[in-house]
Amino acid sequence: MTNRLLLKHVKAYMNEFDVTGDSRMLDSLGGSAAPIPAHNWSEGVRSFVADKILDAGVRNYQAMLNDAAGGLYKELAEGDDIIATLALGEFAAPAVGDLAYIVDGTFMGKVTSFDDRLAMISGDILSRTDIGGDWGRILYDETELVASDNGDSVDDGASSLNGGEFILHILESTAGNYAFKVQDSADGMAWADLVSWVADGSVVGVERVTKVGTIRRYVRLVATRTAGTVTIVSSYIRK
Amino acid sequence: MAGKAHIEKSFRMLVDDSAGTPRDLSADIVPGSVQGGGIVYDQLDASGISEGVRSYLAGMGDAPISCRFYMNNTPTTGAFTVINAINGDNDGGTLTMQWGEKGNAPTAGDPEFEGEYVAFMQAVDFQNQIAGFNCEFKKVQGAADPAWGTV
Repeated sequence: MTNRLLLKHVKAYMNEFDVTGDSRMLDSLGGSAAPIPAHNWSEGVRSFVADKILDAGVRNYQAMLNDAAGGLYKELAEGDDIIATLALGEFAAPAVGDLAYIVDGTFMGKVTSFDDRLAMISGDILSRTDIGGDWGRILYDETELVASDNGDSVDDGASSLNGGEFILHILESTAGNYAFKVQDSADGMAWADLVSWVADGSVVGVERVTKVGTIRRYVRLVATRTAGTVTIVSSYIRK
Repeated sequence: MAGKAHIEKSFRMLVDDSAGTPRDLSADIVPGSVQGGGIVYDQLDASGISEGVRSYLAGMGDAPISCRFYMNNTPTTGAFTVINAINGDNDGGTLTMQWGEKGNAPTAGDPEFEGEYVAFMQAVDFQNQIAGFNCEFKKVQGAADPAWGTV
């Protein structure tokens, strides 16, 4: 069947929280460059150039007003810095290699309302850094780790030269002590270290690391356990 | 004289990918969303005050094309894969619209509208709970005007 991505298969991670359970709807992910008229008066048909300035972020993200521990209303406040990964599963829960929209942004405001008598909060998450927001992929789907693991490889079809951003969400930790890194490969068989996160799984949180330069065709996440249990999810963008 | 019926099922839209290879994105177009094909000229009112009937001249034209695509990220051929890679690329690429007949794929002699366009991909949303995005295509600066022809 032709690929179709349904809202019910989207998982939303914001910092160290899986807020999927509170998520109700959103208006849009990402945005477009604007057209600049570029024609002269003798042209038969108007012509345009793109201004190359992308509007990035999550617009009008709407969630149920959940003030329990772990709920978005309780844990995230207006003005908070948020690194968000919205993972889009293909006919199922998101898996390694699936599409993801990633934004390093700010929660611009929390507005309450009632949607069919249910209390809601809503707001925009707009980019605040040079990463902005962009489309990427899931590097490691949400998993409870109890042992070391070499993650499944993601094949991007070709190497790239402009670096990338790698996001690690640590959602849960029980005395966790891990080392997390990204490896790349030209053939999916011989691997080399690419970047590492500082986060060791001892506490929940989110971390973004930047890779400058070449990233080979295949990438994977490697988790090396020393102690404990952690639940993580990871995403990345090739620039 | 028998007429021709060009129905939506017979429509094809081919868009150059980032390598210049035409990709048929028709299977990912949301029904009823295609707008465009043809040139619409500005209507310049050139009437004189004593004339009984207004007269007009054709000014500069516009040839925008727009549609909504499902968010198909199949490598190489999916609409999201193709359009995201060419989004805002001011070098543009060829966009071809073809109208086949009576539910059949376009064949030689069927109408075709083609030109060099820049893609402006809009934000992804979830209409009817299915991910998709609108896309506007506008004529590339310096290119020849898009034109009607045949397949």
